[in-house]
Parts: sequence; structure tokens; C-alpha cells
Amino acid sequence: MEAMAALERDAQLMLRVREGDEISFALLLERHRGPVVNFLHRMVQNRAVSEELAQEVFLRVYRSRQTYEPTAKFTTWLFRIATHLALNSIRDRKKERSQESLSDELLDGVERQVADQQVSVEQAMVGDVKVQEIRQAIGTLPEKQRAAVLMHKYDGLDYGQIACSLGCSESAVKSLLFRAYETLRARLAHLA
Amino acid sequence: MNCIVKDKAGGEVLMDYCAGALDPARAAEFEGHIRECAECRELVDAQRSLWQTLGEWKPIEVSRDFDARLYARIAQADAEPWFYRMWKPVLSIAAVATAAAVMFAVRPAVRVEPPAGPAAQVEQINIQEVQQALDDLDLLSPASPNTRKPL
Repeated sequence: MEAMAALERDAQLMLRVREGDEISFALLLERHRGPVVNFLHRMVQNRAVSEELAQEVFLRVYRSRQTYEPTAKFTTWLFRIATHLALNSIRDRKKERSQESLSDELLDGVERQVADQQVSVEQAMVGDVKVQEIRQAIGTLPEKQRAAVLMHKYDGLDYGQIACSLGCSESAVKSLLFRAYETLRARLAHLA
Repeated sequence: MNCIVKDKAGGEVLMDYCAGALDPARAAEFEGHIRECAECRELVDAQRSLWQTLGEWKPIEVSRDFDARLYARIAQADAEPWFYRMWKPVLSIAAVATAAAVMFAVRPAVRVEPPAGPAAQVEQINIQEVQQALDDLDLLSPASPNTRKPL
């Protein structure tokens, strides 16, 4: 009982989910739905894809309930799954794009126009060019740097948690973050 | 406190300080340093400014039907028979292995005239067993209507 009390609240909820308590799963979803969707949205920069991936994250959490052991912080586990899915999705999209042959220039042009239109509509809705520049600057960072910055800046994860999510050492995370912030300082200096 | 521009661990101090994650004693020490070091002061200003700029990318609202869609997917996943869910990976491997065995067993029969006698009978029985196993696997695939309560 004492050990249970020492566990973080999310881990306690997850242990209840393991015992079949569906309300605890709803509470976990309520607490983490927003951060997970937003992390994924900032990673893949597409609302529909980010929600689809977030659904997959929570589906995997639910499916793993029987084998769940609170060995790490729940948030770390959640972001580990989310990062894994986001990186895979980005790589898949890259592959798809690279498979588009140069002979399909016409089709490629149409697709680009559609993508640009989508950005313009969103841009108009947001009404903020500054945010678009931030999105673009973060979007052009290498994938792992991007994930590290997003978890550090927007989700408040510490170096250890980010390291666990990315499957690398803490010193590697510090290095990733330092390089990413260095790039962003240069790219976004004019917005200061 | 060493200069963050020259110190190897300076990057961490800079990031933690601007994120407000540096412990108060070290933060005070660092503030003392940046009052005297113009180079560090410039770097801190740039990082602070970046931190503030990044904060302008506000979170999006999650779709209202997000939970409903998720619970529908969970119900769909739960509708699979428990033994199928548990043994799904094993069954996939078994199915591939069985298919390979069928291919192996069928190929010589097509090419070569089957010899008369007990050997031919043994081969025929094996094919039937394999076919039966495949039929059994097919029975496991369709999901039965789920009567489980929604979450």
C-alpha cells in the first residue's frame, strides 16, 4: 500500500486500468490527450495525421495494460510511444515523397499546390505569420532535434525523460538540444 | 561559475537558466557571471528571446470526436477473440510456416508423377493435415459480434 502511495498518480491510474477500471483510463486520456496530440501536431505539422497517431498511442497504452509495470514515469512511456510513431510517420512520408519520380512532375506540381493552399488557409485562420515562421523553423530541424526541442520546450520533460523517449543518452540529448536551439536562435533572430 | 561560452557544460546551464530550471543557488551564481561577461549576456538574451518566441506557437484544440473514435477503435480491437489477440503474432508466423510447408509439399507433386504405394499415401495425408490447419486458422480470423460494454 505504501509502495502504491509512492507511485505517481498516472502510474496508479494505469495500474487500475490493468485491473479493468475503465474510468481510470478515461482520466488518463483526459490528462494526456491534449499534450500528446499537440506534441504530434508539432512533430508532423498535420492535424489529421497527428490525431490519427495520437489515437494509436492511446490504443497501444490500452492494449499494453495487462503487462504494464510502473518502471518509468508514465509520461515518459507515453512520449516514447508517441515519438516512435511520429518518427516512423515522418520517415514514411519522406519515403513516399522520394518515390515520386521526376516524370510525375505534373502530378507533383498539383500536390504541392494543394499542400500550399492548405497552409495558406490555416495561415489565414491563425492570422499569424510569426507562428508560421516558428513552425517552419522547427519543421526543418532534423527529426530527433525537433522531437527533443518539442518535449523540452512545450512538454517540460527533463533530459532523462527525453533520453528515454528518444532511446539515447542524456548527454546526447543535451547536445541535440544545444544544436537545435543554436539553429533556431539564428533562424528566428529577426522575430525577437 | 565558468563562462558558458567557453565551458563545455555551458550549453546546459544556458538552457536550464532560460527555461527556469536552474536551481536558485546556481541561477544566482550565473546571474553574477552574466553581469560581468558581455558575451554570455548576449547569448542569454538571444536564448530568452527564442524561448519567448517559441511560446507563441499555441496548442491546438483536439477534435471533439477524438475520444469517441478512440473508444470505437478499442472496441474493435477488443472484439477479436482473446486467444486470437494473445496468439496473433504466433499465428502469423505459423500461417507463414504452414503456407511454406504447403508450397513445399505441393511443388514436387505437380512436377513429378506420384509414385504408387505407401509413400504416396503419406504425402496425401500430410497435405490434408496442412489444409485442415489452414482452415482452422481461417476460423480464428473473423471477429464475433462484441457484446462488451463500452468503456
